[in-house]
Amino acid sequence: MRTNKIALDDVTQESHISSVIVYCKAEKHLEVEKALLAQADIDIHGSDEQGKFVVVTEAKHQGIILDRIDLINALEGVVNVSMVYHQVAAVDELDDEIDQTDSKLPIAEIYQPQLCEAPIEDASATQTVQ
Amino acid sequence: MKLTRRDVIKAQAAATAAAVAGISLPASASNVITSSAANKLTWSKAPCRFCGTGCGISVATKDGKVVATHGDVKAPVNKGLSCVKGYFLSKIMYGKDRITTPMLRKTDGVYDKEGEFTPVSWNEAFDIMEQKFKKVLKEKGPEGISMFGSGQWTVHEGYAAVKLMKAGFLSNNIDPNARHCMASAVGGFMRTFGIDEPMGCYDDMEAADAFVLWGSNMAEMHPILWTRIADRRLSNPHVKVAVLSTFEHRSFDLADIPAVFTPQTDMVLLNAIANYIIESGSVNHDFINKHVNFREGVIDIGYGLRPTHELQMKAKNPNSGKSSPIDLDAFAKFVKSYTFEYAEEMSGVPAKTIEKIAKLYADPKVKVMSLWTMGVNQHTRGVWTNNLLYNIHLLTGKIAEPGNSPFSLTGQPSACGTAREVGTFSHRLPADMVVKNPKHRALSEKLWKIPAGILNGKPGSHAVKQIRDLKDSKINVCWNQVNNNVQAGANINEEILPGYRNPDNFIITSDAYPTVTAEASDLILPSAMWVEKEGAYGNAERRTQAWYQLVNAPGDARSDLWQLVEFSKRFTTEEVWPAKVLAENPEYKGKTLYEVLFKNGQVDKFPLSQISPDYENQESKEHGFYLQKGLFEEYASFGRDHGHDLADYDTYHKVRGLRWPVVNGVETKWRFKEGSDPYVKEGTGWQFYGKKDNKAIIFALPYEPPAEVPDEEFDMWLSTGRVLEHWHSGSMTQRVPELYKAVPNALCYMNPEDAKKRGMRRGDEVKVISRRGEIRTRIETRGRNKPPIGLVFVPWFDASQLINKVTLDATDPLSKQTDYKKCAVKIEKV
Repeated sequence: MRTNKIALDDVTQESHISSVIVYCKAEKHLEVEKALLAQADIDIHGSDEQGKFVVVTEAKHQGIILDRIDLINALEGVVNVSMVYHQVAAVDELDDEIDQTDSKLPIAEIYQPQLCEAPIEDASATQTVQ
Repeated sequence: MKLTRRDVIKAQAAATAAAVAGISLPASASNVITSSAANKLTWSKAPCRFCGTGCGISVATKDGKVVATHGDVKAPVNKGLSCVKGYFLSKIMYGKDRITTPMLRKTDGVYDKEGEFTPVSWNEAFDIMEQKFKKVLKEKGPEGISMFGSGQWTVHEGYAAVKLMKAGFLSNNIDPNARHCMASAVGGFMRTFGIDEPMGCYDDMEAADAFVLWGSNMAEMHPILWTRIADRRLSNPHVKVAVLSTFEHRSFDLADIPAVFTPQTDMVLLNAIANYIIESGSVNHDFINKHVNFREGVIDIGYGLRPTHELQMKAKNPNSGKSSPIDLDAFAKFVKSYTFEYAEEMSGVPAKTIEKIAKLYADPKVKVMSLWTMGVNQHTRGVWTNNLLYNIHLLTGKIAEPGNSPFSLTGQPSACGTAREVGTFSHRLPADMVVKNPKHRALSEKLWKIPAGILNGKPGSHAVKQIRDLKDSKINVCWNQVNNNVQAGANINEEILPGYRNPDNFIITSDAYPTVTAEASDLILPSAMWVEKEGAYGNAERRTQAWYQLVNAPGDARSDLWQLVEFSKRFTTEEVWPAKVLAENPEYKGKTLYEVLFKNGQVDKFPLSQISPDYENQESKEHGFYLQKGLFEEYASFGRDHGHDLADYDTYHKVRGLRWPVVNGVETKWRFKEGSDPYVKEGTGWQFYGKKDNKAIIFALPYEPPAEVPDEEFDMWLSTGRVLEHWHSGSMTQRVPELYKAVPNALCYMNPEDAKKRGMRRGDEVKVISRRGEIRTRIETRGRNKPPIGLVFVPWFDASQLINKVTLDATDPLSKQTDYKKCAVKIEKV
């Protein structure tokens, strides 16, 4: 009888984009910010200046993302890393250029993470919500 | 500046995390994009399919595939967060070895038990199943067939399975693998309260002043709930966390009061706490007088082994759950010998530590939440230990109000919603009813619209007995769904594999992936999973949550629901029901089981037009009616108006779950308590309405030793359990390569002193040997699990190592749940 063979060679032409929230004590904010900035492949998209950061990272394999989360967790002053968002996309479409208009709306208003509700009216939102 | 699709996705990922964290992101050139087509995803809600916590997940689909997920910001359970299991949900369905067609063992084109797995059509698969079922039903009757499922069945699937087995085939041989994880919890609830499932809810975590973990490693097993507890502890310095376990694990990081105890002595500790509550004058007499009865249970009840087993023959009252009434004084006398000194001697926990824990319970000002899972349930006295836990909450009246909460956690996504509430156990019917009770059977027959008196009143074979019956050729056909029993069951070598490979038997396994169970079977049916079908789960806090089918299953994979309903078309009432019943009820003659069970005027009542036009629904479209709604509404009719009320089905698609009983559209957070539970009458304070006199029971029950203890030859305790990255037996999570990578092989965690004594070092290959079998693994003396001297811990997810070859199939004699947590082993270097 064969035991489970694990598909470890799950290499595809995919890329993984993830976001996490990094928590540290307020007094360590600057220190942790510096350490995060020093990490390759990690972008800070925002913070509350009091110990919370929104971090986005992209990798060819989601295992690499877990490794990066481990690295962040190990940073001096970091109390917790919470995983939030994960998306898989085909590598060859990620570099497609996107039409843009010069909106002054903050990003949070464009991408209202208001999910699974009745369809929203705003056609500028990129999510079809049901 | 030019922007790419990558920027859009990153902006979306950031915006979602910012919403969860409560941070507003600044507007800047790099994150302002308004093109609508750039990352056009369709978002829907679904509960996570992994554990009993029941986190809400937002799921995005694109071109027929799940491509993105995140914690649902509006889900009250997880408030936008996700743990490592739920983080990569979008990958779970796309493993390379996904089964997409039925596979039958064949040689030269015909079925052969020793043959090779060969792809076959659904028609051919059902043909051979039909043939085998009919042969066995004819020769042995309903006792000869069985079905084994789990708390991963959706509510609809579990309900259809129970109905097909109990109302169709008239066989009670259906059990979930929840038998291995929740049966003792159920037994505890029924014995103490007369009604299943926790009275409190997760809201208790923000209200409690103290948390006591009885054996549970929530940091790894229930990480989202642990985050809530950690938040409470870290932002409120007065809050205390006590962590009790047989070895040190990650939850100890947050422990104010850590305690490592000798296996089985949790019973001593609990009685010692009860004794302290009494002796320190902390009994809440007003509460006790109004709401509690005392009873003393019979003792020496054996170990649920085969009746021929030496230990079983020695027991005075094997499998007895009898008890007789006593009063508080008699109870006080009963626990009097459980002093802190005695408890220290038995458990190894210092008396001072025990006192600290006891005080959390005794102090009327401290709101205390007790939490437990497998440590208490997978226990040869699991039901008793659940009873003992309720004792200390009842003695002090600390129950069913915010923060005062004995809370039995669950492992599987619908252990509560399906296994327990639907009643997919061999002795149960929906809504806490049991097959033994003639009134319950009569009510079920009426609601199911089947002839009166037709249901089988004898409880069927439970999980462990099914396995024994297969080995003994008493059961010859077994259909597995949503479980991996060959890996998860106990005593694989002597009981499970011989039963599966017994030439008399035909084993069917429905699964999405080729698990060891599937591969030990004769026919594999490809299953749709999670959002490839519409479904509903019920979590540990009584929250029922539904989701739509968001994508199609690959190839010929079909939901377990479709499989069950479709298979019912293969049988007529003449073939499975007694001739006498049909003679008395001629209107059922000549009908298929499909017609009497599913196209019965109730289940087929809701037209396809009621399905949301935005979603696919494979089963319903094939059968011509809204199958899930019909099943749910028929099922809900069992529980409405007697404490198990569910909302109407459509509501569940709109809300993020509701905690039953749902009365007049309002959910119930705390049951049994006036003001929060609509079933409790004004002026009573509390009513434990599962019991006729509205009183819960405090049980006098002693410590009894485990079935096997270390001796000179087998000199170590073996405890088994899980690690976060591999939920349950790993058949799902091991498909996500990085989860597999995180803990590549199961290890044998050992105290460095024990390793030194044996001349072993970290990384050495060893054999873990019990009286039943052995496995090879490697020694780990460091890391997050730190066993005390004399105990090793081996996680049980690794299919190549199958630790349950070694474990004993001793069970709790009352709940029949297996004790995986303790047996005696020796460790030898290879």
